Amino acid sequence: MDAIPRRRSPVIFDARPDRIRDSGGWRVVQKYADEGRGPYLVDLSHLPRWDLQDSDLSSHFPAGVPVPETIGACAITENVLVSRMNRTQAGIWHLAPGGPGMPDEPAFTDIRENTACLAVLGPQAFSLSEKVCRLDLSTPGHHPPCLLQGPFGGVPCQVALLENRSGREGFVFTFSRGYGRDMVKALLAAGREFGLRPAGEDRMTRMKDDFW
Amino acid sequence: MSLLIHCPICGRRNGYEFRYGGEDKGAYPAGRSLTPEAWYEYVHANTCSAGVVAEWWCHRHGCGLWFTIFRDTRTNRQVLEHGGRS
Amino acid sequence: MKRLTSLPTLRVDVGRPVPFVYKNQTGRGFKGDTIATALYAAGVRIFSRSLKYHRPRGLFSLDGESSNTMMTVNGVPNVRTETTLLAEGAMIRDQNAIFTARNDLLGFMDRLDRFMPAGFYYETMHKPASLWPVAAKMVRKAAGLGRIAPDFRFSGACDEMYPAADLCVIGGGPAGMEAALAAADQGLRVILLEARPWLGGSFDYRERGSGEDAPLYRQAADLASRVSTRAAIRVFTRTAMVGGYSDNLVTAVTEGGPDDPFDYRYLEMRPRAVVVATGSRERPLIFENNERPGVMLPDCALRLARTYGILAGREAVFSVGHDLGLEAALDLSELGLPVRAVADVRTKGHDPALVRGLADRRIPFYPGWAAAAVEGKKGVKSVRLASCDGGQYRILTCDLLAAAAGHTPAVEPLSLFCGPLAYDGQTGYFLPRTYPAGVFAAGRIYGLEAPQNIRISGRVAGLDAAAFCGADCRGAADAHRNELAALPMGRPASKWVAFPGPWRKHFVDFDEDVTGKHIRQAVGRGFGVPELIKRFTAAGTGPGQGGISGHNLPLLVAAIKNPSRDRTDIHGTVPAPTTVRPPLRPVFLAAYAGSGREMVKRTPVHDAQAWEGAVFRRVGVWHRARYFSADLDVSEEVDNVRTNVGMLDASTLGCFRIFGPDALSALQRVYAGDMSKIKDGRVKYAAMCNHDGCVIDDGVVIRIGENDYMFTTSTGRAGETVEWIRYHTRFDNWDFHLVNQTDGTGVINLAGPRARDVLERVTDADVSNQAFSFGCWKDFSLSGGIPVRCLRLGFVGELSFELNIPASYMQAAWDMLRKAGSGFGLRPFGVEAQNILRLEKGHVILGQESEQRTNLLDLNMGFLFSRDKDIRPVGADALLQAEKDAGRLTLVGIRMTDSSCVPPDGSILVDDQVVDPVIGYVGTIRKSRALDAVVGMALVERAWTAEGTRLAVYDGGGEPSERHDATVVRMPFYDPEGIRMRM
Repeated sequence: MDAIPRRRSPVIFDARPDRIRDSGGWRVVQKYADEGRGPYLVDLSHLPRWDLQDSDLSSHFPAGVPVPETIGACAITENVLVSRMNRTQAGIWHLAPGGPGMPDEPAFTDIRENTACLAVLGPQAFSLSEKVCRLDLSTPGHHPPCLLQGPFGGVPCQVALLENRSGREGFVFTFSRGYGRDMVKALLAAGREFGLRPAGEDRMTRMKDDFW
Repeated sequence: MSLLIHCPICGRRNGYEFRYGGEDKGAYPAGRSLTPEAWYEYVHANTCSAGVVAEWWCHRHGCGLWFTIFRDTRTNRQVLEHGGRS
Repeated sequence: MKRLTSLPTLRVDVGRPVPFVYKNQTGRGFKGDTIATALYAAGVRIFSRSLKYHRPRGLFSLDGESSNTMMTVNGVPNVRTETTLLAEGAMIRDQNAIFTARNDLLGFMDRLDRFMPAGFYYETMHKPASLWPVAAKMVRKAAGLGRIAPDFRFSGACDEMYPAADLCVIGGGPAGMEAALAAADQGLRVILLEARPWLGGSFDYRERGSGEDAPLYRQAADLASRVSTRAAIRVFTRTAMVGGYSDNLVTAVTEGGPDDPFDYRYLEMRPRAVVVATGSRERPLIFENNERPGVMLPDCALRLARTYGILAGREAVFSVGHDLGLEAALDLSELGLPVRAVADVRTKGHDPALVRGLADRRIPFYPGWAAAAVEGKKGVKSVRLASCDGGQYRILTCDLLAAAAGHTPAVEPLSLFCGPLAYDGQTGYFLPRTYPAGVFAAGRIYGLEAPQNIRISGRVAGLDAAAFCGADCRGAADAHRNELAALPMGRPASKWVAFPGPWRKHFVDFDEDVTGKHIRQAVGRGFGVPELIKRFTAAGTGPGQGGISGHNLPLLVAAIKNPSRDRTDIHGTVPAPTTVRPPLRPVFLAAYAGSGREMVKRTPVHDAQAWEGAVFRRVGVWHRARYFSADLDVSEEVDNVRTNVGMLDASTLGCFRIFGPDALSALQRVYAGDMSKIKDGRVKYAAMCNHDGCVIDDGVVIRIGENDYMFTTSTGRAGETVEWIRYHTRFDNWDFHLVNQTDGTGVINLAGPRARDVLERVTDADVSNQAFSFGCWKDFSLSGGIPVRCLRLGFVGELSFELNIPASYMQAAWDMLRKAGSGFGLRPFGVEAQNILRLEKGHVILGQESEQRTNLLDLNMGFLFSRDKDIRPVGADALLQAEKDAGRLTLVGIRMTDSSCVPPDGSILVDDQVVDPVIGYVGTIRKSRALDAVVGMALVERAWTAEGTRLAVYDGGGEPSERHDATVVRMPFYDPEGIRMRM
């Protein structure tokens, strides 16, 4: 009938886009005109995210890989992060476009609409995180990629630590979609002193290539 | 304010992240023959003891798990069952 | 004043002047100055007037132990100028004085002290009560510190930080730095908190060392550079600990410097271990006029010179009780301050090198002597020194008296972790009885004095903390412990209290103007312990929080309680200290609030509604559109739904998926009704109760597949629904899974007689009444492929389509409907309009028509309770009992006799004919334009529920109070047959 209806992320950045791609109604900013020199705040809300729940998770291979056995552990394959949340639940987050489709099994739920997803990448990412949460992201005890669940910016979040080596810190996190705008406001306010700036989707891909 | 709870999944966390689920009194008593008195005892009567009590807590701002801990109400600290520090 | 500029210990940069304005005069300090040191250098001696007696007060210490130097800076009252760095252009004013602190017209108050005994306020402010307002006004005018304007707004920037660490070291002196280094060597992540702008503690401003060691300030600098270059150690300077709680929760506040993006930063951390190395400070000496400007702690005089380059006076007398006091006298003499005499309450045990040094400089030394009084109204003119036995005295003219009775450990931070303190007869210190696991102490807090001992004790504490955190270093810790044990210990602190006398102008606490006489009065009135005396006299309750009185109060009480003995010593009576509580320092509430961010949820059509003029209100965690016009009656929005069509954003409703083999069992447990009877394609209305049978939630349940259901909850319950279901199935071991889809599910309730007309324009699906009737649900697409799950419900009593739309499409769907509805009069409506619409239909909103005690039966919703399910639902046992209880309230509809009278929601219903005249209360009541009547719902006792019963609504708002007539009527008020929602 009509043109493809627009889909909107809960997150709006007050920054000038430099490169945009259109995909199934989403207008995704791949790059902003001035992204600064890090840390970067990247909106990944438009990418697919699935919830997988089953009393036997070992029978599932989301994105082609088994769910990690250890609770809190993550696996990353083909731009897809698979995190083990508890005995019966896993989270599957796409970190870049072009990933596989969701298996047509009842154990999976498409939760992209339920959550917002942001990444904080680059130097001083942990300096930012310690201003908005009590989660200890910087402890050398973590072996990234790994998952932490707890309040971040004052609201419950799932935080996946991607990298914790000094200078190339990075984490990606999801939270209830409705908080999208206040979360971004809080992060940009807390990150102002470190030069935190919005960055496009490509920044995630580039950092990812650096990381792995 | 300073209550620290060990979540079986997430580890040491601030007490604010948890919801209190009452004293651990075991499963709900069996249905049909349940007397009003027994029902009342189960739902409303608590031991409120000054000492170590078993309690339900939910890591509501984290993993969402319900679990039981032992807490010394005199110090507001989580303890091992026999009273040692956890 | 000319500063000493060549000292290696200097912390001010005399090449960089910083101008300020004090009482309309321009002054000049230097970079590194605090406001207090800059003012002192500029010749200011009287900084403020005291709270009660308006006595002149001056610089006494340098770490904010009293309110003496609190001033108004840039309009902010009660700024502690001793610890606040001087900033360019600061506007500084005195407080609590009429005219100025130097010439205070209320200075006469000092002579009225006999009319203001201990407990003055408690005992005099009784009768007649009519005098209270007058007296209170006068007292407020005369007493107090800074004034705050009612419209004062804190303009500073605050934020917060939660740094992670294994060890938190409190105090960046030599012991703290050694502890941090030792722990970092063992692989710990360390946080080091230091209240001053630099590390170094008591070593920072001292030249002397022990034996051949480097000067102390150089040792401090060496340690500081090692600490600062260690990646594992994070140093926070200008950061004072303010709270310590169980399980090592530490809070602190950083005062921002010129380069920081904040004025105050709240820090909170939960390290595994804590080392307290806060050192010690000098115990004030109690004598007559012991707080005159010109009297200060020896350490204060020494730091003024060594750190800030300021000689505190022209001629000084010292009265001390500790070697550091002797060291200060000697050092200041060498720096050019004429010292006329040094008295020391100790008769023996002095460091012989220091005594020799005094003799070399021909400074008269009086062992076993102490200051007894100073003369001078606004400053020190002379000092009377006396021998401690009272036998001899001498009067010496001077303008500076550096006086202290000895040391007292800065034990407050430690006591927050360790609980009650005990008096240690050996050191004369108050020290913890026990240490909780993971809490350690080091340095002068233990009474150590030799630099070597202080440093080793720091290493011991750091290694102990590391071992506690799992490092393999117990052996190293023990080795250092043995090394420390082999060294000579510090000498006991002096236990001197005061010369005998009435102690009328002997100040124990400066902030609250508490004298020794007040303490004596309190003891005389039967207050036996310092804890009570503190409350009766207010000693230690001021901004300094016991910084001045903390140690002396218990000593004084002990001395007073032993009248048979010489009053100058405590002689075996064990002094009991008062309890220390956080915050240890005054903290702006704004600093506690931190960034003060508010995290609120917005629906995906928040902006769309804002553009249409929505006024939002906070409902739980959400912003919801309340109404769309300035018309608070929302009559236009209501009428439009009844006659045309409206759209409501209901995205905040909870929405969940539950699936798995035991999903139905879980639903059966939490819902009162029988969920096994859900028909395919049909919507089931259901309610959840708690164990008491009281209704906590209502919503609808649909079956979307094999062992697969979707259900909705009210806005307020969405956040805890998963917890609730998991809690009530925790013993069952059922296999089911829950997904909270609330935020992902946008909901538009399209309601009104033209709703179908609008919907048909945006979908190809058959939404006719035949194909899609009331109480059914259906999945289809809107134009362009927007997937919707549509439920035909009737909350507002008209033809309604509840469109469940993926959140990302909501804006597009909203715009599409707006466009499609323009020819049908479509306009949005808010929750206020919905409230009236559903009221007309007699539909309850939990929390409005119900409260905590209202059960399912009270709301006439017994039909939602299934008595014979296999799985007994939560609340069933209580409901079965409640069925036999005639004493409960029941929900009825009421109509006001006078259709212009709208009583407030929650009004009570009364019947004056019965003993207990309150027979119920109104839930919601509104003017209904559709009915041309005022109708509401109320909970009333059984005897008043029959249709036609006359009720009186009590209106306490009028004068005299009124009763308005109402009648019990049948519900629903509007469209009782429910034809309109089934169209």
